[in-house]
Amino acid sequence: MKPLKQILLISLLLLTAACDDDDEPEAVAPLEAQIANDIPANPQPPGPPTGALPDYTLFSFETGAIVADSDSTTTNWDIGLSGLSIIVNGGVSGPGSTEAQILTGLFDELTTAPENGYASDTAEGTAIPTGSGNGWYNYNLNGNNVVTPIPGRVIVIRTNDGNYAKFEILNYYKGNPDVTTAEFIDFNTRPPGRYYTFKYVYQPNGSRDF
Amino acid sequence: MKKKLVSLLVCIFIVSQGFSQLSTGTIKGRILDMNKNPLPGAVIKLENSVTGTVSDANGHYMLDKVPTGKQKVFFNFLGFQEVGKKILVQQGINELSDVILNEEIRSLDQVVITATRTETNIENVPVPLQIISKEEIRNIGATRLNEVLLEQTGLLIDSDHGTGLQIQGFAADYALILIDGEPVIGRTAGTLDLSRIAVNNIERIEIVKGPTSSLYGSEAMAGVVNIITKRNLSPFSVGLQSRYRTNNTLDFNSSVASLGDKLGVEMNLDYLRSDGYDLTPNTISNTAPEFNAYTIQPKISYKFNQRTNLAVSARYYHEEQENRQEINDEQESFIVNDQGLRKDYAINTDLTHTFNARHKLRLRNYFTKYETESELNYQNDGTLYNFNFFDQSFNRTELQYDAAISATQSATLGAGFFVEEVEATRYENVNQFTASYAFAQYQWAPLEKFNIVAGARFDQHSEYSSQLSPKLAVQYRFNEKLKVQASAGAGYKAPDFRQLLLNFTNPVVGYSVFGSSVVREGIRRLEAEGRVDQILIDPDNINEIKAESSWSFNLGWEWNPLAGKDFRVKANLFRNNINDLIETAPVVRKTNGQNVFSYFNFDEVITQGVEAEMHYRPLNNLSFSLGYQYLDTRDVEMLNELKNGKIFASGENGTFRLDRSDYRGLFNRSRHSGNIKVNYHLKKLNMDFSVRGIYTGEFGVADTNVNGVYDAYDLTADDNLLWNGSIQKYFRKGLALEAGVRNMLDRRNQHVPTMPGRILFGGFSYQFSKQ
Repeated sequence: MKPLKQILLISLLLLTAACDDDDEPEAVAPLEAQIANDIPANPQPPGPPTGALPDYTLFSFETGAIVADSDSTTTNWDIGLSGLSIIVNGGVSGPGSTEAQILTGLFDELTTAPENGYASDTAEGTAIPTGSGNGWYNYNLNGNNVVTPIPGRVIVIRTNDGNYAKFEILNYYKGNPDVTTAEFIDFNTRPPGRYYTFKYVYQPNGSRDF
Repeated sequence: MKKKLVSLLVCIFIVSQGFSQLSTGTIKGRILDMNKNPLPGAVIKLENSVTGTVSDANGHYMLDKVPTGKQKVFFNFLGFQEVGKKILVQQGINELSDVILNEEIRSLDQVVITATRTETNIENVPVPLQIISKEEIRNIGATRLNEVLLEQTGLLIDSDHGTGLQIQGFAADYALILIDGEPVIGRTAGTLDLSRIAVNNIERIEIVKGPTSSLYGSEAMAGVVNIITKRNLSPFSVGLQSRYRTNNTLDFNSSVASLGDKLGVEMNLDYLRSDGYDLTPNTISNTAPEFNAYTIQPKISYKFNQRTNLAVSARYYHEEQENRQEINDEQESFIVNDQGLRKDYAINTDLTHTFNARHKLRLRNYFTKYETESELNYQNDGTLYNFNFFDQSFNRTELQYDAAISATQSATLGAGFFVEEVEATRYENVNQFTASYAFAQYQWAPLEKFNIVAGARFDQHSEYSSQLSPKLAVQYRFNEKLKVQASAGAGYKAPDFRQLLLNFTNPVVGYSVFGSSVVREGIRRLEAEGRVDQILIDPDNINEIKAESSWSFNLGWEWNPLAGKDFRVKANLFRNNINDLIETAPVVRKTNGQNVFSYFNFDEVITQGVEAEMHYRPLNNLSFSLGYQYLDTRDVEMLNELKNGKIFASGENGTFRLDRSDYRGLFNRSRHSGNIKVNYHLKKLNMDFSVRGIYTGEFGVADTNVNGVYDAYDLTADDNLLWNGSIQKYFRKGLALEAGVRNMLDRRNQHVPTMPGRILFGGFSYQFSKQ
């Protein structure tokens, strides 16, 4: 069924491309998922917890890179990460108009961003809620004080420019480790936390298609 | 007067028969038991006739006026298998060879109490029932209750916060444990640790499966385990027992009892100590800590007259534990010494008055208290790191009236009230709850083959919604070979103290949990302190918490296909629909971004399966049994989510969707479990041999992919086959020696911390009774 569908789709595309002579055939470069590795989210120095939050690491999906702190009052960044909390550049968190929502599903199956349902950060709460089991993670996995992303949670972002991005958080620990190994469970050999690894797709053309 | 009349009639009948049939003879002989001891009082009867007699003190009998020719004679004695003999009767004296009667395994006189709260013949109990005799406990070589229950079909031992009991797929929270009909209190995270209960002083254990809240109220949702302590019947008796096991485990037990015409006094002492053991040597703490524990159980009974009896019994348990722990506080780790103290005591006063054979009244008061203390001190300087305590008390007064309405109908009515008190580190103040209840039960046998038990109980509690628990059970005996029973009933479990009272804020992460009785107050306090960011559920709209409740159905049969052979097959199908399971949900988001949780009723769980047992005793001194349980459990909402494609897991190749076949049910439940047992008595040497294999199938340990369900990709504990064996040698004068091995193959499983490796044991016992 699937290959058939694909063939149909491709022929349809070819057909439309062949017919619409007037339109400049747009380069439909397939969007490839990118991985952001070990984005530090205000990691703690060794020693007793200082409680000094929030110092957000800012990230831009367009550039796929960390944005300098000095740009925090600009619209150059989309999301900010600090510990377990994620802010968007909008509402009470930033000067932009970024909005987000969490969806349940598979990253690859989300081929179109929803039209509605986005929210920005408000005084009542962030668009991407914090708290174990509320949003994207569970804490205290089996009494081992581990933060684990809930599988099947995809966060969709509408950026300041009105472009869409989707991302799935894969890991909260440095080096994207397997969290089921005995080595990881043992507190003494566990890599430090507050290092996000996530998979993302950024659609620069303003459409909702991924 | 009646008796005389009957015998007169019988005589007339016999005489008249004698007249009508002139040709008669006399038969005589002797009736013995398996050990060739005479059986006095055995009944000898002719087939299709009222002619009969009874054996004398030496087992001799003589039956006159037996018509000559072919006859069939039946020999009967209560608790023994009937024997029928075809004979050819001639005129004069016919001397028959000795008749030997074998004891019936299912002795007809076995009376049980737990299923109906009244003494009922086991044959008439229409619900799934299991009896563990003191002989079986002795053969197991057990010192604690968990070791006994582990070997029973359909009972699984849980290793979460002590050794708990799973019945029909329910977690340990849902089994009610009674000692002589009174509840044992003191649960940790829902588990009542069975290793607190010594088994040396037990007459038998009765286990009723299926909801019994109609008689016992809360906690009797999965079933009831009632421990019947030994009752002394001889004027004077003394018992001593000692046993030594691997891990430097020593058990010592002594009892002394005296019974007079009016006054009976008993005392039982038990001491158990162990070095503990460690299944994970790379960690600092021992899997099982070093401990010593003693139990004191005095009992006094006084008979005012033939009708009025008073019994006062008490129990005191004291246990000290020592262990070490590694504590991980965010960035640093250190070692603390862990000292634990656990004690419970109970006083049970029981006054019974029998008005006449038809009316009986029983007034009971039961007071019990459970206390724990845990002290953690830094290993390096001995200063205090943490101290926790938990004190719970329970006082109950209950009146029960039993009435025999007619030969086929009886009723039981009861009412009572109790006061519970709890004070603990994570609860504020001393909390007191009160409750009252009433129950009624009606037993009716409209036909010899058919009987019904119907009952209901109403509970009213100060902290949660009232509860009505009805139950109906029926039994039909098609013939001597087959009986079928069916029952439907409601069960419930009260919210526990955590769910009502917890007031806890995690010092490291900052989330809070409030029990349902304190959540409003807690949120107001946070609001006043300006720490509330967003209210998710308005505290004024939080409904009163309900008890968790269930509806359960049991359908069982017992089949005894081979006449004259002790071969039995028993099976029971069960289904439990559990509603309003209590889970946490966020109510408030705090300004620190963390949530305040409280407890709500929302989950729905189903457990179902079948339990089957086969017993076969080919010889008097050899018996086999096989047991098996198939168990299917499911969380209804989670399973629907999964069917709707909303549950995912992540693996090496990223996140993927789970389907129905990936669902494994509830965590910590074995789909398959069973046992095989062989017992042999070697007559020549007066020795017992016993070998038992206990199988527990694999079960889910942890939701490693945190998707909220137990699926094929989660952490699973391997299945286990334990082989246990023991030998007893009996000497004259009440002396016995025992030796045995538990876990012969030295199986270890880090997910079953209550199962040590191979354990060798040996011991002796001495019992003296003055007749």
